[in-house]
Amino acid sequence: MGHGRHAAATFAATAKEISNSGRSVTARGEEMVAKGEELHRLVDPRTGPRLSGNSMAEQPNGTYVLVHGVAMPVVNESDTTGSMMNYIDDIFRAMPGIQSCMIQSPSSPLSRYQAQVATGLIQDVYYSRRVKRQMLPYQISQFEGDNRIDEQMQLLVPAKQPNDTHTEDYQIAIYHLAFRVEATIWQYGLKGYAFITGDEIGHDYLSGSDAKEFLGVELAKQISAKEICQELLKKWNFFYLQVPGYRQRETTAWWTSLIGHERIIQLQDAADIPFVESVITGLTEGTIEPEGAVGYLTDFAASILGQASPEYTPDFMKNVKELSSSRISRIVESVMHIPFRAQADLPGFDKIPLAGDIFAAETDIWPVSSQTPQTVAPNTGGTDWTL
Amino acid sequence: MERDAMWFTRLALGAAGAVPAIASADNAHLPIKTISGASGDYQLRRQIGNTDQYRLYECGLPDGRWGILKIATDRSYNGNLQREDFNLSKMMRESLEVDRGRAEREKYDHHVGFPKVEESFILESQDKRRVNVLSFIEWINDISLLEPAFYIVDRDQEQVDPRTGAWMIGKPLKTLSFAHRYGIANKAMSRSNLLLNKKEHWAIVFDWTQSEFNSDPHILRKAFRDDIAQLALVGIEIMGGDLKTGKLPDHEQLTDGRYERLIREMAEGKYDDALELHGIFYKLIRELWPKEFHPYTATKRTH
Repeated sequence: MGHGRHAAATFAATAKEISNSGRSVTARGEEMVAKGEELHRLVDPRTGPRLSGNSMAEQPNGTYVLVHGVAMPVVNESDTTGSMMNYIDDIFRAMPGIQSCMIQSPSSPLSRYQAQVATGLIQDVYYSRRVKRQMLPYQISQFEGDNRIDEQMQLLVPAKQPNDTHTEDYQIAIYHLAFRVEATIWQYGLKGYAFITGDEIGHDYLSGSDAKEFLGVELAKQISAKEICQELLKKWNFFYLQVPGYRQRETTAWWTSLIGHERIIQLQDAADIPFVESVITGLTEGTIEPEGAVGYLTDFAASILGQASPEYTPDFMKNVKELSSSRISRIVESVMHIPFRAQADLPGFDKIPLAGDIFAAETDIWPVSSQTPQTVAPNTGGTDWTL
Repeated sequence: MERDAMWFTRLALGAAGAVPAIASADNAHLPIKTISGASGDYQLRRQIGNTDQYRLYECGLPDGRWGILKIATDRSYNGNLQREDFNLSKMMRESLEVDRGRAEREKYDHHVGFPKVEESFILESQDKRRVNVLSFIEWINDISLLEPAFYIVDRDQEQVDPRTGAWMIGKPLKTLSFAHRYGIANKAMSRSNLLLNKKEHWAIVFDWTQSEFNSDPHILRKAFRDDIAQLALVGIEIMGGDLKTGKLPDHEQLTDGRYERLIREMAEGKYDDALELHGIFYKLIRELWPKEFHPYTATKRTH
């Protein structure tokens, strides 16, 4: 994890290079595997837990300053079979807009944090075991706040195959999120953001053999997906973005049994993902009122278009010009059942350190000197009363 | 069935027992505290109810009408109030849209059956807890005329006759059919959550903090069914029926078993389509009894 922020200019240079090559975003990773090499360690979940921690800069007097705000882990994962096989390419191209509107601009939902983004793939154990051993059914990058996000996306290796088994091994992914991430944000009583996009069910249990083979984890016994999700929801504002698929109702039912239907978003079009995630984040952080979601999304979409590299504009961003009011309304309606203010109403929400706070040691959680406004006694107009 | 019986323990002005004010006040009609919102000032008068999650205060609105201010007891309930605001506002917009261009006598006035959110905001001075200011359709200005359904059973020890029970079920059923049509389930139907005006036959589904909107109505089928079932149980109880069996007391108005059977089937979860059920319900009512105003009629509870 570094101190920097994702820079649009750096991204544009990377995007141009990829565009000029005529290859996909994940060509580097695919080439490694094609040569018989193992998955790059930065995206191989077997190399160890993923860490999301505050970025501190040492000062001349030996103290440390919190550079950009507390670290907020944000995970984007998807299965990459069938209609989702170009997911990584699409998210890559959307990154400048996501950074601008969801993370970095002063009014964006995550502006008071340093959002550290990890990108992942969820695929099928069968394909990995029988067809391509190195293409692990679960791949996840590191949590990064700067352009290493883009670099590590290029190391992922999507299967890009039709899904013949009609399941994906989501239980591996959610286990990793629930038990194999260490995040500072939890020490403040807040949760990270995790989005999985897909159109299938997973398996009801994670076996010890799968955990060992694909996560490098020793399990004493198999663990149920339900048990995994109980832990998952303590740590993450987690949402399943469901795209139309072969077994629509069954998929919804399976995920509902694990996380509740208030966390399942029915997507009409995978191209809506950045907009959906942005509105969800805003409603959860309390930076968007439900009635203002349409206006927010309209501004967000316009900004994405403004940020897009002209040489590398994917189809769905070209479609932003056609982001009609009906499409915006549809997107907003698709998320209006989520728990509003689930993050904003947590007890620790107003108490986290802010950018510029000074810490005695790099690993300290609480500052010695804070920008955070002190708690003010309620303004009761001179009368000691509480409603 | 009973979610929380504490909602309106002291709602009706003039009811037996003292009504506590926020501060000692000799004259309960003086405003006790002014709360400022974006739309104007709200004059709080007295606390009229509470649960673990919310407190209710009678308040004067900027335009001189009376309403109810609902405040979360803890910030963790702010999201529920925000949800109530969103869903009720959606229902209000849809109700006004449905009636747009209609002559007065042809309006459906669906919004008679649920409160209007005048304003929803965070009260910085109260630990950033959220407030919803609620009002009712313009001709319901005196909230003292509204009583929760459980008063009939618990306070008054009464049971209403089947014809009285019919509007106490039918009118909230109309509200539910309207809400469900737009993908909103109430999820908190109970005898505490149904406000009644016995004289004018108003029935208001008051609390929508547990409500849920989903653009996929299939997702809410079970919630719709539960809304209807809970409403039926309220009806059975206020008519003096047996909650376990659905059996209603014998009454001369019940010439056959159809009314009892329909309500029992509602309570058993047979219906998830409130609009269809509303049609079935009122078709039966018209067959059983003449279409005329039947004043509130109740007797002492037999059990």
